[in-house]
Amino acid sequence: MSESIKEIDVLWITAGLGCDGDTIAITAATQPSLEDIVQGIIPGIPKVRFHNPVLAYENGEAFMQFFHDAADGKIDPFILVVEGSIPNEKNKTEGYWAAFGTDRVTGQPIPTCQWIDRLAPKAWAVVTAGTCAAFGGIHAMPGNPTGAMGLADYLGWSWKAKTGIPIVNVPGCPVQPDNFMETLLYLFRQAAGGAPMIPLDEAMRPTWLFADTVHEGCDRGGYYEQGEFTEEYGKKQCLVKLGCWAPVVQCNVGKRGWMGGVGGCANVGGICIGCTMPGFPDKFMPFMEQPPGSILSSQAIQTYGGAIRALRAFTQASMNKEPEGRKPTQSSDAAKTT
Amino acid sequence: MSNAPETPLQKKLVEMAWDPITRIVGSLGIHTKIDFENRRVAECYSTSSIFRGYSVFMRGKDPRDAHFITSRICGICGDNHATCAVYAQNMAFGVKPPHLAEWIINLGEAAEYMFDHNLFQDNLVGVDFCEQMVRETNPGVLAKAEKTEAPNARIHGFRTIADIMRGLNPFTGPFYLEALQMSRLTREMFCLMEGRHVHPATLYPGGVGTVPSVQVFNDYLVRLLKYIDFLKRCVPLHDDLFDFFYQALPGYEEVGRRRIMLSCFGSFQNPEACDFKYETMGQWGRAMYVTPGIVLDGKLITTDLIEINLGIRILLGSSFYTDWSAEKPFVTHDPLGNPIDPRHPWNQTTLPKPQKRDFSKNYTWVMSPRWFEKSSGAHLALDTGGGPLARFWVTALAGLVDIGGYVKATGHSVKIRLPKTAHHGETELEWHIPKWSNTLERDRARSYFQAYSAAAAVYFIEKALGEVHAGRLKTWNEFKVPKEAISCGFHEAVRGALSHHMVIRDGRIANYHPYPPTPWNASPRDSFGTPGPYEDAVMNTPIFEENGVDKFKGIDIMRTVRSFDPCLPCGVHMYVGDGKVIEARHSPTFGAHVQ
Repeated sequence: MSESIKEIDVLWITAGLGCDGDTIAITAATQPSLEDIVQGIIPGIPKVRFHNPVLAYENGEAFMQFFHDAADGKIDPFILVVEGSIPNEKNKTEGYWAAFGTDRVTGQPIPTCQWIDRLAPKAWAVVTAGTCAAFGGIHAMPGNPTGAMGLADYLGWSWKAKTGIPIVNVPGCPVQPDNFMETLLYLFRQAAGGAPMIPLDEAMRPTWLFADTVHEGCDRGGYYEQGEFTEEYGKKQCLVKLGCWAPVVQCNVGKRGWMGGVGGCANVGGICIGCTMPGFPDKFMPFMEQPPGSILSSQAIQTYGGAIRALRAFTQASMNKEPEGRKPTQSSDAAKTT
Repeated sequence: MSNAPETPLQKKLVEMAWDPITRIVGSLGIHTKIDFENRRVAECYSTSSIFRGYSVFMRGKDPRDAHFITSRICGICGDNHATCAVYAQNMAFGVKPPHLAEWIINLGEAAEYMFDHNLFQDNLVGVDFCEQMVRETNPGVLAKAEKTEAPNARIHGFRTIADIMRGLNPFTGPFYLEALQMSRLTREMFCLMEGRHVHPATLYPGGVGTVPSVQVFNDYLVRLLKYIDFLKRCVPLHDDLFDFFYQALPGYEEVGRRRIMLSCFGSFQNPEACDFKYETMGQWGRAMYVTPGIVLDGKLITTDLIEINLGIRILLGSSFYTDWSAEKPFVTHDPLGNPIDPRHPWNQTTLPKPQKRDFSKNYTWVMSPRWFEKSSGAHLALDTGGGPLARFWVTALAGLVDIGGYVKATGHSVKIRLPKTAHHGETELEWHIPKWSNTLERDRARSYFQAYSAAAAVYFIEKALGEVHAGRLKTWNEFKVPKEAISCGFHEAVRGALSHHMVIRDGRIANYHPYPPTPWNASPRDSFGTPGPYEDAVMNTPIFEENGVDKFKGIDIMRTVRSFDPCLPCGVHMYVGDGKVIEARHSPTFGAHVQ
């Protein structure tokens, strides 16, 4: 990379159809934390200025000024972060579904879509925080009157920033805190010229975070292998029969935990509902029913798993016994053996 | 406001807008008219800029999915929604979870209160009281703070009030940074119980999926004790800070003051009492470890969840919806035979109608929840006091709560006993009913409620471990989804009263309406013209800020709005305008922009 950016702004719009859960999530991040970035203690990255409505010191127009300036080309370079699904503002005659700030001339709210139209072409990179902005998420469920969709549905899946960087999707409902901060850190490093183009999969997710399935890192995977499934919540066995989609869902939470290695889904006792996937939520509902695709595989594994379990139980019982001879011996016995 | 009617000058009123209000969750704008000569806010309107349509797209869905979906309403207290939905599902499905499941949910929710109040108080609200902000808005107050010794300095380590204020400076103040770190510790506690913050992975109708063990409760307890150690400094620090404002700015009690009209919907189920039946809801509601109730003018008028439920009315007033009065009601009578009003959430049909914002007509996506008081016939614009104020007020007056000696309601106060921790001995805190429902008391209660939750959690850990030690490890009971049902869940979201109302037909959701605290607090003028609580509280606010019109930051207004802990993924804007506008400025901090 030839670029060597010394300072960069992060403009974060939470005014999609969302819940601000991704912003709240990043306040939980420690790898790196928000303070690590803001205080500039990570080597090899530009100085970063953060503009997020939940955390900003500024208020109202003073806060909006950063966004107006970026749209006017006065702040450059900047990374645009979008949180929340994008409504279809064209499916009605007037008014708005989502807006951010007030238009100084008309006194009307400024639709979020208008901000995206103005800011995306000028951004150094565009990042989505959470599944709503990435793929539409919960608010794009059938029957929603807002016509909600993901950012790539709105801008086009082949859309690229002026730097050639595609939309970077960091899904999760909400996003796993460190996954998001780590993605930003990668982009900061790339901006400073210290990293190649961010590697993304076909859904534009960072590959090192989203290549593996939950199941591949699940601490209940061993139960699956042994054909042990629970049909009751609160038990330690594999959750597939209760509605867990881990075998096909790309997400690292099973391995990484939720924060600081603590928490998660299946490892704590929750079914995986596929919240990092483009098909979420429609293709996973109703959540509390066994995924149709797992019926065959879980049956197949039961024969193999049962046999393996029996053999292991035999070996395990042996291993639970100490080797012979671990007892106090008489000196006369000892003399015999020497 | 461009669309506010203009009439000749009566008073010199300046129109000012803050849009969006930052350091809250969700999109909120404030549009006000200020009388600078008399240093008062003259008028204020509250409006929302985002519609998402949960109640619309939940129709026809599997009722078991309700808690997964409604968690996504809120990104800071989604678990409160999931919990409330589970309560409503339990009622509809006729299932009572095992005791251990209730202790696990109580521990998760306690951690949520600790986390959220902590983060909001010291990383969001705290910035309004930080040295940088006070220097920019009230240099005279900062000068006083420099000379004022903090009465509890020995406990919290900040010598003067100005030292406390410096401690709260964003991203540099030591207390700001410590609080941010603490908010992670409490979230880890949450994740131990409910899997993921903020949309939980382990809550289900019938119980929880959390695998119980000695380890999981120990992991929670050691973190809790570290947090309690922090709280023993945190609560006296906030007392010093808030007491100082009363002392430095005589009359500050009027900031954000409104009539005492508080509602609390109860929190922390007592599994011994709760069977999730509608018919017995009054009894098990009173057994909750935070008492539900309504306080009017300082008097507790009910603690009965059935009465509370029957009184809820959803008015449209100034919001962007078509009225549903032409629709057929879903529920005419509750299971006890009480008539259900057509404006009750069970009967609501959400018919969104996007339109231009017009402050003389419709200006918000928020409806106006009100509570119908039978004796006066009034539709009361109850507020939650940001959550903690109403919880304490109701619990204190009811005098029902005694959580294993850790928390005790006395009839006029609530006593909280915190166990010995690394740097401090056993400590007793006592929250007293204040003289006012105002900005500073909403904020103060938020500090004390962290202690309430922490002390309650110590008890819940004892109870949960008791179940584990006794070998009662079941956390979930099976259920069947009925063809037809009506149900409700009552809970306290972090910022206050939360209820979910569900109607099931043909085994699917026919109607589902979640009522979070912010629609109560952020509601606009209703169909009777009664303003919502933010509007009302801001309108009564005197201005203490030293800046004139040109550098005006509206700090007293910001403190008032934030004292309610706005949480508006459902969005709110405020506007002040009664037809006397002569000068309109949208940009208080960036000089004049006259329309």
